[in-house]
Amino acid sequence: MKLAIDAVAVNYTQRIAVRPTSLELDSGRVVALVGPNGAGKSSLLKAIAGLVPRTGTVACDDARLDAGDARRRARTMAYLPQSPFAHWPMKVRDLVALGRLPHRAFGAGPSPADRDAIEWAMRETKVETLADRAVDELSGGEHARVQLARAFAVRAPILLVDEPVAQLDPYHQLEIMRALADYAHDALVIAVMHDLTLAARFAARIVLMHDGAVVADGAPERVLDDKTLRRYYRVEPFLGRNDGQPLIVPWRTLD
Amino acid sequence: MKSSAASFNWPLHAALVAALLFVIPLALLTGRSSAGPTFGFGGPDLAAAILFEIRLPRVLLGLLVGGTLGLCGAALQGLLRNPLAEPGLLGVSSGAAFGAVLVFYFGLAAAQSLLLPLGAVAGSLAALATLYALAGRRGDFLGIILAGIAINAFAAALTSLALNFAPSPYAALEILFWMLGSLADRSLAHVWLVLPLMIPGWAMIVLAARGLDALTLGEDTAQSLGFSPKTTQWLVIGGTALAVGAAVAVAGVVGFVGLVVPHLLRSAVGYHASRLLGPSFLAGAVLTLSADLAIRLMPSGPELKLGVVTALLGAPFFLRLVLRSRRGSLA
Repeated sequence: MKLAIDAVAVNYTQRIAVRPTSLELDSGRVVALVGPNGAGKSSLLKAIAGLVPRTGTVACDDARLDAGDARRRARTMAYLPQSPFAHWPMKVRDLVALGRLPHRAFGAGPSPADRDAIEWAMRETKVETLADRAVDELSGGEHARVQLARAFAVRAPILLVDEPVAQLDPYHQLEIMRALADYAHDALVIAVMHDLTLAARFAARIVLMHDGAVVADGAPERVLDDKTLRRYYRVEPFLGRNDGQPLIVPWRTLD
Repeated sequence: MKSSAASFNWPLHAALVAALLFVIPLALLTGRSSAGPTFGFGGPDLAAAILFEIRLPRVLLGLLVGGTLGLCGAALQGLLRNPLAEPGLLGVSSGAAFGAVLVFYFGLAAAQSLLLPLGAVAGSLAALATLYALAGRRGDFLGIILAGIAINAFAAALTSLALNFAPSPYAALEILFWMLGSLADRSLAHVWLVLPLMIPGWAMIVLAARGLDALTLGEDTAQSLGFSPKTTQWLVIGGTALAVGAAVAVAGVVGFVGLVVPHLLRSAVGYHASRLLGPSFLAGAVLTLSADLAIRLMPSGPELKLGVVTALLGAPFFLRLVLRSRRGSLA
């Protein structure tokens, strides 16, 4: 499965959020979308998902994903927003089941495939024991896992997640990233991220954005080097290694 | 593993239908003229006339108006993701009332009976569109309530203005009494008047049901699940305007049914916005018919108005909800 993003651009009324951007992304990996605040990462993610007005095209295996067929797009791409929430204190299983909405006909009950997907998603995110709890009674880490289960339950070949580990403690950050990496075995996961060490650790490919454009794209070691971090993040980094993987710790600001 | 709350709640539906089947015959057999349709009072002709021309329209309208208010309350709460949303509190009913009053005021109600509900529908539509423009998008609790207060106040001011210039005190009194909300002295013609507006209104809301479920996760996620928040929004707003407009046109302002009913049922349907709709319709009908029945059973004096009774019962309930919301647990 291949996702082709061709000349996608997002213009808000007062500013350009994403300049025309083209990317080809393959299934089977996590792609981290990184860059300083305001670089256009979230806007690009939303443009791919079709949540903001955009120009350009997005195609999955040569089939264009347009607003005209919202249902097919919803089955092809799942989206998890930054700080997701639930407006009503549903039970965890019912919330996860909302991920099956694109697969269910009007008035139909859950099919065996729906039930399988819900149970699978709860297993992958380790929330089975929470199934009958109300979502407003969960801790932050539990809630993040439940929301991820909701996105997993779509079982879409493409999963878009916006800052999945913001506001989580280190344990839950690692746990969520591990679950995303597992999901990416047979899917494409695009994750907007701020933690560069986690991005380098779990993503096979890093796309760095700055001022609405992609400025670097490739393997973590190649993209996240000293020069790039100084130039685009304006920080002096500490770069080390652990278990053969890069450690990237922003140390002080550059002015 | 069986998914508990995710399945259809049969006992709840059965209980509500049973309550409805209990209260409808009771309402048909109860009235001021006699203890029952005949029981030795008058001849069979008079009994039949009382049953079909007085009580049946009243019961049918109670069912339609109550059901509409329950259904639309549930839909609005789902759309705005706010348990305090209600046609009355949001100014939808007073907007409809003003639309109807305008028709009254220009003396068109007698000439063209369909104009009255159409005026009410236009009024409720204007009120809802204003509300959504002012506060709908973010769905934040304070914004919606404040917008509702403003719309209510403005519609009430315009209605007062119309009353102020009313051609005769009798006309003003007629308008005033109608606005208090009542099901008394209606005919089957009223039923035929509202059905063509209510049925499409209900249908639009039912079409929006899955979109309301998706909105539980916020607008972006709803869109990513294939449900355009805009489509859902206009189906609910249009449907509510049609159905509540029609209800207000024949029964005046009957408040709080749309607030209380969905709130009491929400946890029983597992907080599914879509599964709340059917039970809210049934329970709204049961509540309205019961309140109307209680009015008729009250001894002597001028008959209490239905809208007065529902407001007396509903306002303290609303107050309790507001107090709870201030402690941070809105649901």
